[in-house]
Amino acid sequence: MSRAPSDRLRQRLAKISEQHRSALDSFERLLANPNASFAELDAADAAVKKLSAGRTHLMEDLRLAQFEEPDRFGVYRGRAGQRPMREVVLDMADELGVPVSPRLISDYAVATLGLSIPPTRFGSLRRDEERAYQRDAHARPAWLTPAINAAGLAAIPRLIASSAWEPERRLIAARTLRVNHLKALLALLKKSSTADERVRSALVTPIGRFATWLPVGAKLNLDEVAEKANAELASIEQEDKERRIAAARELMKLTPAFQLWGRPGLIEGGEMSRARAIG
Amino acid sequence: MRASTVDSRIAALRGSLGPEEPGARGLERVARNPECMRLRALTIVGVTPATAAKEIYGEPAREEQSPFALALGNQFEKNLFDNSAAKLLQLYRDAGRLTTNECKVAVIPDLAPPLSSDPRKLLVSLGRRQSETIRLLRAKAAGNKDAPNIIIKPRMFVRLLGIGHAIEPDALIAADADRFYRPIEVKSYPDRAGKTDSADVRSACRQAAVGVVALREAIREFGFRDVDVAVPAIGDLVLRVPGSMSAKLRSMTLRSEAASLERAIDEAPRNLDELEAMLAPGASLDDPLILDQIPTSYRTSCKEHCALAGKCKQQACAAGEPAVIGDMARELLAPAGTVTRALDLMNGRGVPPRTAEEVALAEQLQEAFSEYRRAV
Amino acid sequence: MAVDLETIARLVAFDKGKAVPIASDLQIVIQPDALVLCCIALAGEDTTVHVVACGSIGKPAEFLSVPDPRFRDDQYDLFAWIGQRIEQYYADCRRRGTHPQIWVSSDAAVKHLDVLSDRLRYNRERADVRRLGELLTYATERFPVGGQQALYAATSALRQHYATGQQAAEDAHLGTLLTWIDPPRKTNILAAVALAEQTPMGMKTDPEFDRTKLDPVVRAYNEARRAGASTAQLKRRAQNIHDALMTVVSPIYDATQAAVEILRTRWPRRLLTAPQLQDREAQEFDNFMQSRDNGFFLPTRDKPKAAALKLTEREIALQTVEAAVCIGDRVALAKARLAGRILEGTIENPRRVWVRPRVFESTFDLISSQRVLRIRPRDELILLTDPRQRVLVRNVERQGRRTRVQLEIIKGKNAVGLPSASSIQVFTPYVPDWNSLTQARIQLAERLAVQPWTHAENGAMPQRVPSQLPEPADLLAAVEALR
Repeated sequence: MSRAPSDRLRQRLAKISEQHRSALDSFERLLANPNASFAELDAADAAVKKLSAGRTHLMEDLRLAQFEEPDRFGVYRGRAGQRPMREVVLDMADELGVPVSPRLISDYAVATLGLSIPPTRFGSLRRDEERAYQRDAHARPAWLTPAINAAGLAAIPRLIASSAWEPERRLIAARTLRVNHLKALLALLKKSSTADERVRSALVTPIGRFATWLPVGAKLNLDEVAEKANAELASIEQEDKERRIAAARELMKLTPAFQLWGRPGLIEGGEMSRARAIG
Repeated sequence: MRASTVDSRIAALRGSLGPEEPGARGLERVARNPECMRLRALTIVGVTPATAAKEIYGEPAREEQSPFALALGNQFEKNLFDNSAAKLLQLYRDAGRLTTNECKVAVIPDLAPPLSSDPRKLLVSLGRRQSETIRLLRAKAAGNKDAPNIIIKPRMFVRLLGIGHAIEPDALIAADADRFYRPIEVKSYPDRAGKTDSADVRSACRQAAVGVVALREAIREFGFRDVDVAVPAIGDLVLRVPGSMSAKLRSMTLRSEAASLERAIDEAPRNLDELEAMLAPGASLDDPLILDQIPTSYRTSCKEHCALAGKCKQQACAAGEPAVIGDMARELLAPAGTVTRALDLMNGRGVPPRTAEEVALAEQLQEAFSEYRRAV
Repeated sequence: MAVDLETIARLVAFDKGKAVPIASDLQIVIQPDALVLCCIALAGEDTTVHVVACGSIGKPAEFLSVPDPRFRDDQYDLFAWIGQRIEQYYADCRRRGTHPQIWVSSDAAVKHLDVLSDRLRYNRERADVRRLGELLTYATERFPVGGQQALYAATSALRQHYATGQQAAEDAHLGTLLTWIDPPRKTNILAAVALAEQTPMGMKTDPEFDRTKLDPVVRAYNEARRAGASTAQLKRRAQNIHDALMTVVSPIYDATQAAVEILRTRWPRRLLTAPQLQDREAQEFDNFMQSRDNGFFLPTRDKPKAAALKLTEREIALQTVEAAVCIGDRVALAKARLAGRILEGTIENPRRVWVRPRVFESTFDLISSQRVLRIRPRDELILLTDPRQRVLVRNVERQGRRTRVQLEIIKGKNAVGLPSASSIQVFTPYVPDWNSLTQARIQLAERLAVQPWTHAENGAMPQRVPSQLPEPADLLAAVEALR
């Protein structure tokens, strides 16, 4: 059930008032303690001031909300009838054709579908996928999997691939990051060439970001960008492909689960590995 | 020096405070003021000056960086490292440092699980980062053609008293023909060519020097002997073009920075022995009275890098150290030892000059003071 | 290393718990209509101005802020606002045939203006923003030149007149400097200074302030903007930002005004050469504005010839100003005496020897008890009290604690004459020559008419051409003669 903005503000005010009261109590307790250092008093005072400032702002918001229309707090998108997020992400990955970062998928989804998929949601998506696979590996025709490091065959969780792809496409060898960057750029250009004006316009920014050789603010000539990307790709792709195919042969010797989700990563032992778990 | 013995000695000196990783900033800080025993002592036992100021002396903690500057710095770095460091790669191509074929990039954080607030998961993640870094460095050291040209956020170690302290330089760079890597420091400071803020450049160079030292340690572990040749004291600074997110690349020699850091590290074991000898048995540095006993060397530049600068200044003023009126005064008035004594010599009061140096100083002070009084 | 006057003054100040004078005369020329300009940048974004305070000396400020200077249009509007005020001020100065003078709080603020001028003068989007950059360039390019009167940092100006009992680097904070000059009564000066230090006085806000006060209100504004909030709501949030920034910029403006007021009211004696400094500045200003009127471009970097000219100008300006200050200011003279840069002593054996008909040689000895002396044979010195007389150093001989310097009068033998025995005289290597800059420019223009091969494109080393002149008998003298 949707709450009116003023109701939400009241709830937040109640919460912050409670925190403010508690902070004031702490401050007074410290004041009464002769052993409390100035640093502790200063920190407690700062906490009280911060909460007080927060209360003031919320009151101001509430004041205005009394006069303003209740339904002007951002764009609300109805979820009814939308495909599950994983399906959309799988489609995006397929269109881009290579393992890519959540950010690129997110930007691509906004540009091509007008759909907002915050990159921060991919972490939980990844975990849900793997758990679902472990429950029943055949439950779905394709899974969102991580890319696999050609050296060591461990997962690279931040790059998203599809289990439906051939193994070498999911592998990352020495030059693959660059190869995939160029391929993703070419996929963006291809989409731009066939899309309507809105999508073309929305793709300009990601294309500009990927075509790093262009000076800032330079006019985008899509044909020239494609030509340069293809030229660079031609010079590095073959060697990269050979590496990935060799790694794929090793990958196929592993269990099906490891083939998709990668081998457990190793941590080298020794004195140097006594990393303190603090920063 | 066996690490476990050193560990327990250090833990005893640290007292109730938990260990902190100094990071590159902490390590380079030691080399900035090598005469300051207090700074060295804190770094050795694993307590940052900021923690010492807050927890030991009860000074209010002061924010070091503005959230706006932090956000800008993060954005600048992200801009360079996004999309498999495409912009950083382009920067090196434009500078003629890498060819089209030298496009091998490894992003260490991507090769490990994400960082977590769970200490066990965090340890695993950091351990993986470290393993991947060692693997890649070893590949380069062995002359493997597939060794990366750029490594983003490697996790390396600098040994201090036999204990490895983790540092994460922004990146490492090596062309295929280079013997080994050199560090890259990325800073959002504006690059204004000759007008770039010298304190900013100094700070960046010092942090890069920590990277040089870490690389030398790594390559030494791999059995290299000509460490200085394989890893010369050179680093790359990537600074920001003012008013934009574009980057500029500059190579900097770091000979004196790397040398002073290596010297500080070499002297650390002796420093630990000296520190223990200085204190009563069972004394620990979490006691302000104990920490006060450790000599400092207060200087003009302390404020740039040390949260204890204010505290040390108070103590220097109370003790009448000539450094409170400047580094030059520290040198000139050394024979007098304190400002009070210098004033006595200048005014011809108190105990007559005791040494030949005091005699000479008194003459100079009196002559200069006479000139001053005549003039004003 | 010898004890210098600066160290003495700091010792005395530390002892007294109050700043002490380090000059006898006002070392600068304060324009009665000078402009005080305090700009605060967003932390990390050196090419921005978040809030500005602007006003004439002795007058209250006008303030203007933008909610978030990262929004370019808002930022440009603020630049245009500043530009209008500076344009008006510069135009007034031109009409009166004088020069503008801008006061900022500290060297950090000068750097900020320098960054702004460098960036804005090439702005392609707005002519009014570009114009501001050009106008600021006048002040920022003049700043490094000795004796300039266009741009002053209050901290530097005060430091020329006062020595505090703290480190020179700590004097860069205007608040602490003012505290030393006017310490609060019955308070430990060091405690007062520590408190003063907590108020920012440069061109940036304090990180703690940013975290607790500024960031929340800027975020609130940006969130409202993104959410399409009403004008009233945006205006209210912008006001919150302005109110927060006022707590930062107001004290800086007041402190800068206070600094100017101290110099204006507590230093009644002006330098003797103040009029020449003003004239020179007015001339430079006029030249600069003429170049702008004629559409001359302000380059990012100087070409070699322009760079050589500028470097020479700076050297000459510095030399001229140092000489000028030495003549007028007793403390500067004392400094120079201690450092051995001038020669002072008692005259002995003044003599006038016949050389040939109508030619006499006038010589004398000067006995100096200066601990440090930086003179050597063949140096030329000028009589401080009468620059018409020039002397040549013939010999320098240390005799225990004293130094005997043999001098020959080479100019002003008749106009000034021999000094009398037992009199005390002072000689200096330089006196201000206000025409030297013009002469140097002419000379350099001739010498650099042809680009030297070292700076020519594809410049090849020229062929060796042996000199046709006979080899000098005394090579050292020939080299010295080039001096």
